[in-house]
Order: sequence, then C-alpha cells, then structure tokens
Amino acid sequence: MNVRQVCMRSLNRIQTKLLLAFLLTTVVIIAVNLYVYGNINRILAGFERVYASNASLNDMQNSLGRIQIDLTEYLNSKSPSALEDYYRDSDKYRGMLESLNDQIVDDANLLSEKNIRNMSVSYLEGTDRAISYRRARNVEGYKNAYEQATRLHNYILSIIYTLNNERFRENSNSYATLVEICRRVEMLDIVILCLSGLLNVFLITLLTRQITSPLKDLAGAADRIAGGDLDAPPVPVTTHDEIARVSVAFNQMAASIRQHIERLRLSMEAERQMQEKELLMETHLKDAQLKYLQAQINPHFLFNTLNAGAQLAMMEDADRTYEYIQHVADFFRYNVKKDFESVTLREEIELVDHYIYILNVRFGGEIHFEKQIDASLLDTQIPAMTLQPIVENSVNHGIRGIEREGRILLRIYKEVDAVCISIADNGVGMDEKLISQLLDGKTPERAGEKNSNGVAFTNVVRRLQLFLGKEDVVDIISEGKDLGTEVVLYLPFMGA
Amino acid sequence: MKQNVSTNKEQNSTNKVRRGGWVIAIMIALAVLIFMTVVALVIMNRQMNRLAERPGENAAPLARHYAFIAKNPSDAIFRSIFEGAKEEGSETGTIVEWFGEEREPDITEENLVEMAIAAKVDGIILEGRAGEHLATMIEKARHAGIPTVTVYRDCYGSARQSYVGVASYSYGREYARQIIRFAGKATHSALLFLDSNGDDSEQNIVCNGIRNTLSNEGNHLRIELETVKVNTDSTFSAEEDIKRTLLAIDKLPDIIICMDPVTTDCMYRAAVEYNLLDRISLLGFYTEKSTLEAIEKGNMQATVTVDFHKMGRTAVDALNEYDETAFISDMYTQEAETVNRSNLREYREQ
Repeated sequence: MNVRQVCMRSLNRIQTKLLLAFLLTTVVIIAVNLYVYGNINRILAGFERVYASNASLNDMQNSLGRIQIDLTEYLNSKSPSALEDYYRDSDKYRGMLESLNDQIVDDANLLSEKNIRNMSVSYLEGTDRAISYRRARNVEGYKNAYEQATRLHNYILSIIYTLNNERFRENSNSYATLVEICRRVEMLDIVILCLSGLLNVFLITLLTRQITSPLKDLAGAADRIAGGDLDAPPVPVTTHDEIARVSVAFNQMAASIRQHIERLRLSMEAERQMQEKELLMETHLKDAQLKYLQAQINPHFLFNTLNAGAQLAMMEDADRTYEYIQHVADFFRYNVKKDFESVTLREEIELVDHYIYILNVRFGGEIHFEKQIDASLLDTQIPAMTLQPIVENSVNHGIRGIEREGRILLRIYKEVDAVCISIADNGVGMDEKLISQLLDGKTPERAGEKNSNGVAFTNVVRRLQLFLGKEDVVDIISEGKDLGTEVVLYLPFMGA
Repeated sequence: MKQNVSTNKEQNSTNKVRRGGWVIAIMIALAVLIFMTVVALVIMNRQMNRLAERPGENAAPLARHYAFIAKNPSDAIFRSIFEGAKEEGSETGTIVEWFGEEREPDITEENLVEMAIAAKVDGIILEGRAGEHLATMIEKARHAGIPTVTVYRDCYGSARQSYVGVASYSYGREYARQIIRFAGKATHSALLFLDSNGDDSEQNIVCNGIRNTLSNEGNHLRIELETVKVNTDSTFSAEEDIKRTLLAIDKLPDIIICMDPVTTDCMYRAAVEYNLLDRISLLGFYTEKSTLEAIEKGNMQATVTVDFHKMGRTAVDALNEYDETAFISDMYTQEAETVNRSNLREYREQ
C-alpha cells in the first residue's frame, strides 16, 4: 500500500472529513480576520502619516526660531553656550532641510520647499557670516549680516507659514478622504465577513450533508425493506467512508434476500405447475374414460356378462366364440383396470390387438393389421388409451368404405433418442387443411362423426403433450387423397 | 436486478450532478469572496498610495525657475502677463513662480527681490518702478548671477538685463487717433487721468504722443488736453478721486481718457452713476469684460490695449535667451492696439 492510498483512505474517513470541515472554516475565519486587521493597521498608519508634513514644518519653524534666538543671544552676549546652541540647532536644521525638495518642479508646494531650502541655506550663510563678524569684532559687518539674516528669517517663516497652511488644507482633504476610505473599508469588511460567514455555513452544511445524506438513504432503504418492499432500489454509494462500507454490505444483504425469495418463488411456481399438470391429466383421462363409458354399457356389467358368455361358449365347445368373447372381455377389462395414469407400450399394443380382433370378427376379417415392433421398446411408458383411439380413427376415417383391402401398419422403432410409434393406413388419406386442424388441436367435422364412439384424436394428443411436458409429440403424414395416412407419436427414449 | 442496477446508476449520476452543483456554488462563492477582497485591497492600496504621494513628486524636474514679482497680484494686466510667462515657461522647461502672490501687506517688491535672490532663482521678471531701492536690489540680483527683466513698467537706471513693455509714445498716438476719428468741431476739451503711482516720465511721453498726434494728424481740431492724477492703489481710492474731480470741475470735458484698467472701470461707473454718458466721450485702457461691453453698447468710444499675454511670453523668452547666450536686447517693445465698435467682434474672435 503506497502513501497515496494511505492518504486517500484517511481522507475517506468520517473523522478526517469533520476535521477538514472545521479546519477549512477556521482557516477562512482567520484569513478574513487577518485581512480586516491588516486593513485597520494600514488605515491607522495612514492617519499617523496624514499630518506628518505639518508636524515636520512646525518642527522646522521652531528650529529656525531657536537658531535666530541663539544668534541674537550670541551676538548680544558672545556666550559660548549660545554659540554651542547655535551650532547644534543649525546642524539640526540643516538635517531637516534634507527632507525638502530641491528640484525645480511644476508644483507650487514643492517649489515653496525648494525656496525654503535655498533661502535657509542663504540664511545660514548669513548667520555664519554674522557670527564670524562678531568674533572678528566687526560691528558694522555683523550688524548688516544680522539684519539681512533677520529679514531672511522672516521671509522663511512667512513661506513656511503659507506652506504649512497649504499642507494643512491638503492634509485636511486627505484626512477627510481617509475617513471616507475608512468607512468604505469598514463596509467592505462587514460584507466580506458576512460572506465568509455564509461560506462557512455553506461549507459545514455541505460537509455534514455529505456525511448524513448516505445515512439517511441507508435508513430510508432499511425502513422500506422492513416494510416489505424488497424491490426498493439499492442504497447509492457515493463516498468511500465507513458509511459507504455499511451501505455496500446492506445492498449485498438486500440482494441476497431478494435472490433467496426469487428462488423460493420459482420452486413454488414449479410445484404449482406440476400439480396443475397432474390435475389436468387426470381431468382429461377422466373425460376419456367418461366418453368411453358413455359409449358403452356399464363395463363391469358387460365384463361379467361377457365372462358368463365365454364360460357358456366353452361349455358348448364353441372355441371361436369363446376366444371372441375373451378378447371382448379383455378389451373392456383394460378400461376397467387401467384407470391409472401411464401404462407400457406392451399393454397398449395388447389393447390394440384386442380391438382389431373384435373388428375383424365384426367385419369378417377385412382389416389387415400388421406390426413391426422393436421389442426392446415395449416397456416404454405411455398414457393409457393412446394407441387404440388412433387405430380406431384409422379404421373409422381411413379404411372404412374403401374398395380395396384395408391395411393398418403399427411400427415401433427408435430414432436417435426418441421412441417412434407409427400407425399407418392405406385409407382415404387427408388433405393439408385437415392435417393442420388436427395438429392445432381442433376437432374437425367429418362425415360419419356422429357414429364415432371413440376418444377424440385431440384428446389423445393433449394428454400425450401433458404427459411428456412438450408440444411436439405427434406428426400426421398423408401423401394425398386415397394414399393413406400415417400418425407418428414421438416418445422420449428413457434408456434400456 | 437489471432495473435495480440502472436505478442505482441513475441515482449515482443524479448525486454526482447534485454534488457538482454544490461544488460549483462553493467555487462561485469563493471566487466572489476572493474577487471582492482583491478589489477592496486594490482600491484601498490605490487610495492610500494616492494619499501618501505628494503632488508633483514624480514630475520631471524643469530646467529653470523664474520669479515673477508685481506690485498688485490682483491686477488684471499682470495676471495676463503672468499667464503668458507661465505658458511660455511650460513650453521651454521653465517654471515661473509668482513671488509674493499671497504676501503680507508690508512685504515690498524690494523684499520680494531679496527673497528671490535668497531662493537662488534663475531669473526675475519684475514690474519696474522708478526708485533707488528697487534698483539696488536689481543690482544685488545681478551680483548673485540672477538676471532681471522688467515688464510693463521699467526701472530706469537699474542693472536690469532687459525691459519688455509698450512704446509709450505710440500708446499716446493711439489715443489721439481715436479722438481724431470721432471728434468734431464741437469737441474742445479732453481730460487725461494719470496714475499717481506711475512713472511720470513715461506718462509724459504718452501725453506728448497725444498732443503731437492731435496737432499733426488732427490739426483741424482745437482740443485742449488737461491731466489729473488719480490714486490707483485701490478701486476705492481711484473711484473717490474720479468722483471728486468730476464734481470739482466747472465744465465737463468732451473727452475723458483713462490710462489704466482701474481708472477706466471707475470712470465708466461714475459716468453711468452721474448720467454723463451722453455728454462725454470715454477712451479707456485694457480690455476688461466691462470695458468691452461698454464699447458694444456705444457707451465708450474705444479702448487702447497691448497684448500683455505676449508681453509675459516675451519676458520669459528674453530670460531664456540670456541664460543660453548671456546676451539679451535691452528693450522689447510692443505696439499698442485699439478696440472700438468697428473691430470689437474681430477682437473677440481673436
């Protein structure tokens, strides 16, 4: 884990976020305060500076006055202390002169400064001269020099006075401007303070919102799931902090619950469909049986009657009658016994054999029934009453009434992984429309239908579809009129 | 599940958009805060710096500094001369300073010259006056290496380098020519107000100019010229003198000639006050606003003037020439000109 990852991780912690919020707002407040204090200091410095030029001119005026007093005193008394004072004060004054303008510029005040400076130099030259003359005891000389110096002193004072007034006027304007600036800065500082306060509130709101918003989302989602709304959208994960980890775990938990409930629902659905299918199968079977029984007399009564007839035939040594009655009895026994769901192909073929035998006895052996059966497939399970109705259809709608010899061929063979049951006749055949109607599950109106006592072909097909759980279970092949019909059933090969 | 995933993505994108909006809002607020702070600092700095800096401090230094000294700082003529000098100065790298513009009353021109010498100016433009003291101060200035040029009025016998003024004779000739222009046979007398503070010799030359011209060019006229001195120290004194004169004389003159702006103004007001405008013809001096209005209304016949602005410029040019070549003409004279109703418009346009 490199330094960047460590930093990112620590940045994503709630504690760090809160710390950042407080630090940021504190920094903003400190910066604004420093700025305000800076402004105040600058303005105070401005106030200090504003009348500095007047103070300087006043000092100059005083200093000049002291020089004149020193000069007068020295000329009067020739006292060394007065001379010392004179030199000290004149040196100081010379220092003050350095601050004055000495350039020729187009400004009245600066020009006055230049005049003061030059006149002061002339004045000091005059005072020095007066002192020299005094030392040399040149009375006339020092008197003239003193008078000239006094005039210059007065001129300089006059100019300093005028300049001082002018500077005071300027400085008063500056003062007024400074006061105005002060007011403006005060207003601006208040505005900036207010803005920074608002910004701080803004920042804190944003940061706390970033922390509390995911918590609110999480709480809302928890409430919805607790209220039974499992389809609630997952909690959005927008941060990388501890709440984000909790949110991710919560989303995973919600998804797991949803998946589990979905699996449960699918399993219940499958079970329900299975039950529905069984019920439907049973209903269809019952329906077939009902039709069969409606068409026949009470099978038990008939079966008992036929058994009595068979015994009678045996007693009278009428073997063919006995065999016939036995076949009829077995045929009806199958119906009585096979009220369960599925039977083997072997049992179904036996039923077909009984049926053909009865028909051949009835119609003088005009139906030629052939079988080509793969014996290994005889244990294949098939719904009861499947083959006999199809064979009955071949007899009733295929070969009955044809001039030529009627033939029915039953074939059971294996094709890839399917067990194929083919019932083919050489009867009148079917056209495409009729084949389509039968395959679509519609029962067509056909001549002689009213005499049919069998189970409908569509009933057989529907039961087979339900039994096998798929739609593609039957095929009807007919080359055309008088070219016969072949019905092929496809059962899954369940293995040897 | 897919629906949930898409909803989650939508929410994430909505959250991102919302968060983006917050970030933009914060950025805008911060930008406004920083902008306001920077603007406030810049404005404050600029104003504080403006307060701290002294006017003219950063101006380029000029080459010469001339002192302008005149008796009366409120005199319109010297104002005009000073303006001309200042204008010429600004074109030639020279500053012309009016010494004693706000002086105390007891400060004389001599004092001002002494101040200019002590201030080590490069030249002095001075309203001349006859008198030893002023000549002595001009001499001192010369010793200190400071050239002096007198303007308008000269200081005869002084060490001034040059004089820039009016040829007094031509000045009188202009008055006379105006009298000849409007005077008739009924015009017999003229009164000339002289300046009691003026140089007598110069005023005499003006009188001679009038008289000579009248006799030479207006010999068909018989006009007697009398003179009265008026104290022009102040407007009040001039007005008093004029009124006293008007009340004292037995017969009003046909023409009254004034030789300075103060007398002209006071005389015109007195004429209005005493309702004399129909009885006398006025000839004034200088082109004050009130004088030009009087001419426009026909209350004053004419006024004689000189281009004083040009006079100031010439004075600066003379000092500059001396500074550059150490040579200078002794005198620069300007011709007088007359303004009357016929050329008033043209004069104003000029």
